[in-house]
Amino acid sequence: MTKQKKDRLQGTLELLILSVLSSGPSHGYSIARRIEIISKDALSVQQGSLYPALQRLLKKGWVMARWGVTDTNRKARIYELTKAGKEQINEEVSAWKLFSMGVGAVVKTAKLS
Amino acid sequence: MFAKLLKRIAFELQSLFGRKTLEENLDEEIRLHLEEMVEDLIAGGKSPEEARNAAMREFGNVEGLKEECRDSWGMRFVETLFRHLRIAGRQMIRKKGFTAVVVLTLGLGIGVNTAIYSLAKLVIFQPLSFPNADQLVAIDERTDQISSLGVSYPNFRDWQERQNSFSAIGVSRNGGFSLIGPDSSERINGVRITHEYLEVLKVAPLIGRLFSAEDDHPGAEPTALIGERLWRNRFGAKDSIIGETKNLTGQLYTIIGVLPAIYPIESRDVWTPLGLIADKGVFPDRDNHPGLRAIARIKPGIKLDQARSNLERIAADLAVEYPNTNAGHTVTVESLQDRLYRPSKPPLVALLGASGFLLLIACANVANMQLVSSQGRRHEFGIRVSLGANRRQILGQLVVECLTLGLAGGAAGILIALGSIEWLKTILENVVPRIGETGIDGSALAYAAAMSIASSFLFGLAPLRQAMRLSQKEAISLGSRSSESQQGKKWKAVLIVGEFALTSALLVGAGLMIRTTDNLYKSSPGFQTDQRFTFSWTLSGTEYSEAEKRIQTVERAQEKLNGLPEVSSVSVVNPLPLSGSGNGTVYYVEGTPLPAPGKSRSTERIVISHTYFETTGIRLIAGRLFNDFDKADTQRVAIVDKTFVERNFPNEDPIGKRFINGRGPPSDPKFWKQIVGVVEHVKMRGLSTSTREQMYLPIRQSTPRDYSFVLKTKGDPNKLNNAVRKTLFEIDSSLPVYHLSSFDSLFDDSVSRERLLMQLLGVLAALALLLAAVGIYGVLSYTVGQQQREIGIRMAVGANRGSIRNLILSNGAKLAGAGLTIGFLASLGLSRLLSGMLYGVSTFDGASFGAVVIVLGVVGLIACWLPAHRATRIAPSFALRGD
Repeated sequence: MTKQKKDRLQGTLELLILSVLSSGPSHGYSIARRIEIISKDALSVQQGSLYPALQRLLKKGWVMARWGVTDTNRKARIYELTKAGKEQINEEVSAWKLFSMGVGAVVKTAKLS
Repeated sequence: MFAKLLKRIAFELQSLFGRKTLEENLDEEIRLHLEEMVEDLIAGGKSPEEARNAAMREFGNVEGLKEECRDSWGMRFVETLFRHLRIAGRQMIRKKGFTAVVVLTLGLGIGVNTAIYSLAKLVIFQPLSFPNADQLVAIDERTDQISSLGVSYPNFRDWQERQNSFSAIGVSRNGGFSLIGPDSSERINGVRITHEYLEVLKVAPLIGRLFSAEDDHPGAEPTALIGERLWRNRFGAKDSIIGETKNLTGQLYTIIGVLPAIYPIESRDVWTPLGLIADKGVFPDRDNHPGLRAIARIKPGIKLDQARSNLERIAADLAVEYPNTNAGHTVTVESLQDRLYRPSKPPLVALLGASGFLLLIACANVANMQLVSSQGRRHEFGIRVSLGANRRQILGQLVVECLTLGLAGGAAGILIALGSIEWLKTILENVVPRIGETGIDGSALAYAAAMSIASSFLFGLAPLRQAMRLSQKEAISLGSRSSESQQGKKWKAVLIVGEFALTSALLVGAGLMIRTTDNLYKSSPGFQTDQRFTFSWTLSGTEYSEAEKRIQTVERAQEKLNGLPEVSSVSVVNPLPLSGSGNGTVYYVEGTPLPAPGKSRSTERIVISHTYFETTGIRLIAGRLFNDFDKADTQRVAIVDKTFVERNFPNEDPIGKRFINGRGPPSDPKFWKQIVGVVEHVKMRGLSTSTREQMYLPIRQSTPRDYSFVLKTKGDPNKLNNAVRKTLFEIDSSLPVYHLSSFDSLFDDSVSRERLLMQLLGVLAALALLLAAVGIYGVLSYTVGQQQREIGIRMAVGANRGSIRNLILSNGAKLAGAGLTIGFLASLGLSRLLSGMLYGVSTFDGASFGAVVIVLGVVGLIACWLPAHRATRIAPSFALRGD
C-alpha cells in the first residue's frame, strides 16, 4: 500500500470518528456501532482499526479521553472533541465535500455497462 | 498555536514516561470493547463461543493494531534505539574477546590523543592569564648578527618617551638575591623591574601595593614585592609581612606587596625597582645590553603591525642620532605568548600529529576487525532481511553498534588519558610551561567524545558500506565462506597500505629523534661532565666590595674544598657552561682597522681560576695556562679559543697578540689584554646552540661576585652536597650555596627537550608498530583463510606449496611496498616539523629510513608468512570440501 493511499483511508476514518463525536462524547464500541448504524452498514469498519485512529486523534489534540461510565453503566474510555477538534471538524468536512464532489463529478462521466 | 505545541509536548512526554499507562489503557480498553461486543452478540442469540470468535474476527488482529497504536505514540525512535543498544550490548558481551581488543585499541588511540591534546591546548590555545593578554608583546633589539639583544636602558627610556602605540612599556632584568636571615641565608630568584612592568601585565597584588614612580628612581627608599610561593613557604602567608624589612644581598628592603603565582611570573621570589640602580654601572651606557627584557601593552584598537612599525621608526631614528652605539640596530616586536611558548610548540605539534597517526592506525585495525566480523554476520543480516527487516534497520543497528564500541573505547581512552597525563606531567615538568595546570577538563572530555564518534564512523565506514550493498539473495546464500566481494578485498588492501604508511611515517619521526639524541650524547660539548660536581656561591654584601677580599675568599674556599677526600681538583668559573647564562662583550684587536659603527665583533667572556681547564678537561692547543704570576697588577692576559684565532689571526701566531674589550684602542696601553694561550672551542650553551668566539680571563684580573665551582670528584659526585655546604659554611655562614648538582645532570637538562621528544615519539611509534603488526597479521591471516578454497583448487591441480606461498607473500609485499612508499613521501613532509629539533641528522636520513624498511619489512614478512605457511599445510581435499 503506498503511503498516500493509506493516508487517505486513515484520514477518512478519522473524519468518521470526528463526525460521530460531534454529537457528543462516546466510547470506542459505541463509535464503531454508530458508524455502522448511521451508514446503514454500508461502511463496515473493522472495529479494531478504530483504536489506531483514536490514538492519532489524541496525539493531534483533536479529541481527549478519560475513564468513565457509559449510559449502560459500563466502565469505558470516553472520548470527546476538544476545542481544536471542533474547529477542525468544519475544515475536514468541507475538504471531504470538495473531494467527494470532485470524485462524484468524474464518476458521473463513467459509462456504465 | 502555543497551546497546541504544549499539548503536543505533553503527549510526547506522556508517551515517554507514561508508557506503561498508555499501554495499560489500551489493553484495558480493547478488553472492554471485546467484552461489550461479545455480550451484544450473545444477546443477539449466539453461543458464548461463537460470539467470542465472531468478536475476534470482527475486531481484527489485536497485536497488529496495538503495534499500529504504538507507532502513533511517537516512540519509535527511542524504542528502536534502545532495541539497537540492547542488541549491541548483547553482541559486545557475547564476543568478549573482540570487544576487549576493540575497546583497548581505541582506548589507546583516544587516550593518547586526549592527553596530548590537553598539553597542547595549554600551549597552543590557552591565552596567558592576564587581562587582555592578546595586547601583550615582547620587544627586543636586534642586529644582523644577533637576533635577540634585549634592550639598553637609555634606548628603553627613549622608546617610552617617543612611542604612541603602547599604553605602557616596562623592562626587567633577572638576577638572584641572597635572602639573609638572622641564622641562615638562602638564594632566591629575583628580578629587577621598572614600575611600569606590572602595569603592563595588569597584575593585581594579593595583598599590599605595586611599585609606583616614587619607588623607582635612584635614591628612593628600597622596596620589594615578594612572590606568592615565597610568601607561603617562607613567611607563613601572613598579612603582617607588609611593612617588614628584609635583608636582600646585604641591603634592607621594605616589603610592600605580594604578587600572585601566575605564569610566567610564578617562578619569581622577589621583585625590586630597577630605578634604584639605574644610575649605576652599565645602565646609563647606551652601548650596553645588560640582559634587560622589555614587554609592552598595545593600546586598544592598535594592531600589532602598527605598533611594530612605530617602534621600528623610533629605532631607525635612534640609529641616526647615536650611530656609535645604535647603528644597525632594529627591533623585534612579537606577541608575548608566542615568545614564551615558541620553544615548546614544535615538539607538541609533532606529538599531536604522531598521536593522530596512532589513532588512525587504531581505527584501521578496528575497521579490519569489523570487516572480518561483518563478513561472518552477513548470514545473520540475511536472515533478518528475509524476516522483514529493512536495510535502514540493519544500517541503524550497525551504526549503533559502532557508536557503542567507539564510546566504550572513548571511556577507556579517558582512563588511559588520566593515567598518562600524570606521567607526562612528571617528565615534562621543566620543558612545557604551565604544565601543572594541565588536566582532563571539560574540553578534553569533549575532545575525547568527538574523537570517539569520529573514529566510530572511520572504522564503521567499511562494514557499513558493505552492509549497504548487501542483497538478500547474496546474504542468505549458504556457505558463509563464499569468496568475499571485490569490494571487501579493496577495503582490506586500502587498510593495509594505510597502516603501513602511517606506521612508517611515525617510525621515521621516532628514528630521526633517536638519531638526534644519540648524536647529542655522542658528541662532546668540548668539556667533560662526568665525575664533576658544580654549585654556585655569591659573595654579596659590603664586606666583599673589595676585589682583593673576594679573591682571598674564593681561593680559600678552593683550598679547603681541595682538602676534601672525595675531591681531586677544584676550579671556579663565571658563567658556568650549560647554566643558561652567558656574557657577551665587544672587542677590538690591536692594529686592525676601526670597525664601522655597529660592526664590532663580540665574544663570550668567561672568568676562570687557573685550574679551570684542568678540572673540565678543556684542551690547551697553544701557549700556556694562567698561573700564580698573573695578578691584578701584572700584564693583563687572556686565553682565547680556536674560533677566536680563526676569526682574527687566520695565518698568524696568536700568542702575544693584544686586544681590548671595547670598540677601539684603550686610553691607556696597560688595558690591552695579551693572548697567552689558545684552547678548544666549547659549546657553553648546550650542544644544539652554536656560540661565538670565546675569551677567558683570570679571576685575579677580573673579579666578579658570583662564582660557580667545578669539582672533579673521585667517587659519586651526587654525594658531595653536605660536605660542600659544611666547608663553605665554615668560611662564611651568611653566604648562600646554591644550584648544587652533578655536571652530568646539567648536561642531561640541556638536551632534555630532544631526549623527551625522542622518548615520547618512541613510545608512540612502538605502540603504533604493535597495533600495526597485530592489524596487518590479522587481516592477512584472515584473507588467506578466505582463500582456502582457491588454494585447495590450485594445489589439487598441481601447484606446489612453494609457489602458493610465494603468491601470498608477493601479494603482501606489494601492499607493504605501496604503504612504505606513501609513508616515506608523507614523512618527508612531516619531518620538517621536527627539523628545528634535529641535531646532526637531515630530515632525509638514510639510516632512519633504512631501519624503518627493515623493521616494517620483518613485521610484514612474518604477518604474511605465518598464514601462508599454515594455508599450504592443509590437505587440498580438506580445503576443497570446506564446509
